[in-house]
Amino acid sequence: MPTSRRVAVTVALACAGVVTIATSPPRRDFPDLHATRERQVLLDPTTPTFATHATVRLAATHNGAPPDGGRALGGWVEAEASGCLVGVDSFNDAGSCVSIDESVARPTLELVFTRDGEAAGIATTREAFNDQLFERCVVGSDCTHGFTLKVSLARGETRPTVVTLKVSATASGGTVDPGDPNGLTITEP
Amino acid sequence: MRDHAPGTGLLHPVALVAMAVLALNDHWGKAAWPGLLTGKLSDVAGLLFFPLALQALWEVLSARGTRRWAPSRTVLVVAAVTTAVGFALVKLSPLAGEVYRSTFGALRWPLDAGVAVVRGAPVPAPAKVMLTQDATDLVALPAILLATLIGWGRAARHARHATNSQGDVGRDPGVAQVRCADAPSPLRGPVTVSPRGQGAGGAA
Repeated sequence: MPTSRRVAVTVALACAGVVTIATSPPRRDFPDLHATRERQVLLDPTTPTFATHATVRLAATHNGAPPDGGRALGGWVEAEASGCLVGVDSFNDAGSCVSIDESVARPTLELVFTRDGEAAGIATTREAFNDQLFERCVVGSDCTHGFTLKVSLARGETRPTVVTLKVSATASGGTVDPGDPNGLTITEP
Repeated sequence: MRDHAPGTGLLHPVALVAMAVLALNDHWGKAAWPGLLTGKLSDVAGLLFFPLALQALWEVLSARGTRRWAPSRTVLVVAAVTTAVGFALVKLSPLAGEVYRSTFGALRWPLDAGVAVVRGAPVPAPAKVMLTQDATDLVALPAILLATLIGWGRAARHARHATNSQGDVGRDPGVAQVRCADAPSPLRGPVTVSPRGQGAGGAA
């Protein structure tokens, strides 16, 4: 085998090795991204147009999976009325809510967590969510995780009540910074 | 003929271009144009050259110290199947993915450490590499067929050349093979002889 050929093969093999190894970038963990959003809803049964409940849609949006890995989104959604958490199942036995102020209205909360427009879960009160499946997102596009929050007054309640809905989300992990300075936003579509 | 030496399958233009494409796409293309095309391009490029690289490595190692050598289709097929199975496992199996992350993390650490030293930065600790496990990446698997065809054609050319040379210099295929690789002049053939098929894997 001529020396030049041997050198060429050796160089090619070395290149193949370096290319194979060096194109597997080390995982870099970018800082977590946080976003919160609040929305107040007035449930006023004294108004003629009151329809027993209010529906609020919120969406947490982050950049889609970058070429080699994405972020995981987690967080929680909750509703408060007059300073205490409210929910479908818990408001009756949520001592804090009742004991602080017996007169507090008892709205109920129904939270529907959607993904790609499809309901993915129903929660009550304060609900955590976590999604590790961002690699399903279309590369380079945004991924939106929607929440439909339906707030209803407790049966028989006749007083106006302000309910504060809060969504807090954290996008963590990720291997490539998508380049969006916001990265994570919560909007009302 | 330039084909007829250990490891020269990796010098095929397709393999060389595939290596360049993989390097460029991973370090530049994916960031510049994130999307489906650049996402799959690296898989295709990698699968194009990796079987040929495995085969080349085998040939270089097995032909060391001996002049008896012929490209083996068996080695080629084993390299192709190994590449396909390995790629599929890494893309589909969480356990295989974890092994890949750890193994390549360890393999590339010397590179990262070297770069850090050159830049005067702290030497990083070994870290796992990132990996996107995506079953749709398996669409790139047919690229292995092209690599196999390239290697297959090379073996065929080698066999034809050996046969032709055999007619020129006598009936000893070993002489023909070696002469084919090393000696442009039929009068300058080596003394070493070996029957065809006793090389690395045997020419088909």
